[in-house]
Amino acid sequence: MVGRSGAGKSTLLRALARLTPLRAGELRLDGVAAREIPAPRWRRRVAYLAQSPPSLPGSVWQNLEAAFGCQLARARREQLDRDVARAQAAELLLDLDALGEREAARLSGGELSRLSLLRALLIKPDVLLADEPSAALDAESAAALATRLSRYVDDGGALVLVAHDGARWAALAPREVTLEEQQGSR
Amino acid sequence: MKQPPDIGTLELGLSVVLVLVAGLVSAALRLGLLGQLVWGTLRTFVQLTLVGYALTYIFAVDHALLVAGIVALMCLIAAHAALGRVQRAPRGSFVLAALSLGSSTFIVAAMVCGVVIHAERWYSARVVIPIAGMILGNSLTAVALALDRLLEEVRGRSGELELRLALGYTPWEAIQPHVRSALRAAMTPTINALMVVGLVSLPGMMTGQILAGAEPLRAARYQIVVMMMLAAAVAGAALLVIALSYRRCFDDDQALRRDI
Repeated sequence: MVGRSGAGKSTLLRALARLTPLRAGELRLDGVAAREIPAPRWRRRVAYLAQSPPSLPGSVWQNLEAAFGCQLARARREQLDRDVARAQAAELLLDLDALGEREAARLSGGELSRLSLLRALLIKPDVLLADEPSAALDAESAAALATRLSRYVDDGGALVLVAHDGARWAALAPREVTLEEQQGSR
Repeated sequence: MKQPPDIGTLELGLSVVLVLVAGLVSAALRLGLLGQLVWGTLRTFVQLTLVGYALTYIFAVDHALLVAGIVALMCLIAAHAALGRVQRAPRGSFVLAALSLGSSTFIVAAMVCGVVIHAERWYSARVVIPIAGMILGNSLTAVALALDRLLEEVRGRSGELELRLALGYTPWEAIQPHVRSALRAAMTPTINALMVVGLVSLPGMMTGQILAGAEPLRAARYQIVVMMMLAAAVAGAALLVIALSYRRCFDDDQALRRDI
């Protein structure tokens, strides 16, 4: 999803995660209308990554465990597998053995955005909504992130990306939608 | 029990001299408080005298319905006062605050008047009104602190809250850390009061009983009951107002409202 600043890309992405109400239109997931699916269940299947995601209080490990802290996860007996998390973090160039006990609030912007992606992927969402995921990253981490995202797509995940620079993601996201600013369209 | 000595009109007039001292200080140091001080003194005289007359009438009639009406009115005034201390309270908060104050006051006051004090007629105005007044005075502060802290956190840490929602938390689960912080803020003054009660100053009711000639131990027992009652009522009112209000931070689709 490309378009000028203020065109409403982020707003639309948030609306897909049901974090912002839609003014018009209808959301469906695999043909099922949004109103048929309680919002928490929807959000667990449609993961949303904010452009500069905040950290939660506590350590990096606690930030990852937060993905499984809700009733929905407990009911399904989902929990954090630290070995899986370590391996997936390494793909994103994050060393959890070094960072795990650190306060998440003290991570750099780039580390935090990769940690947030890692957490979202650990939930195994059907759809991943990512707002400028490589905005805070250096070239090397951005490449690692792109590799991880393409594996997510290869594994059958649906990916919606918001980007200023659509050409850069062309291989990963073959369908480009341009949002144009329209009075009152947001 | 011997009656406490009466305060005559002359002595009452003399007490104004005490305020004059404060007034002189204000004038000498140009604090600009003189007007407020005069207005406050005037209000104290008028308000307390009117309350004295009103209570005399209410105690004479002593009808359960009248007592219930007065307590309900006190709850509404307390709710209004509580919301006055909350920054930008959402619409509809008044009803929720009044409801929380009303139910916690009713439950705790009924327990204290009926079970602990064993008042002969537990609904008599002489018992219920002072007890309800003490409960409301403390709970309104707790309700104000709880709501104010909750809204402050929801507004200031919306990113964190929304992140939890995005991970599949329900609004109640997502707001938990902020609820805990709000309840802590509401309970802290009461817990501090439990720690120092009697060490620095005697609470108003105990002072009154002792001046009225009651045995200090007897007064202390009453005060212990009052402290327990206040702790229960404060916790109850704060918990209720949060449980009733938190939903207003979210919209129908369980998303965080941006206009909160």
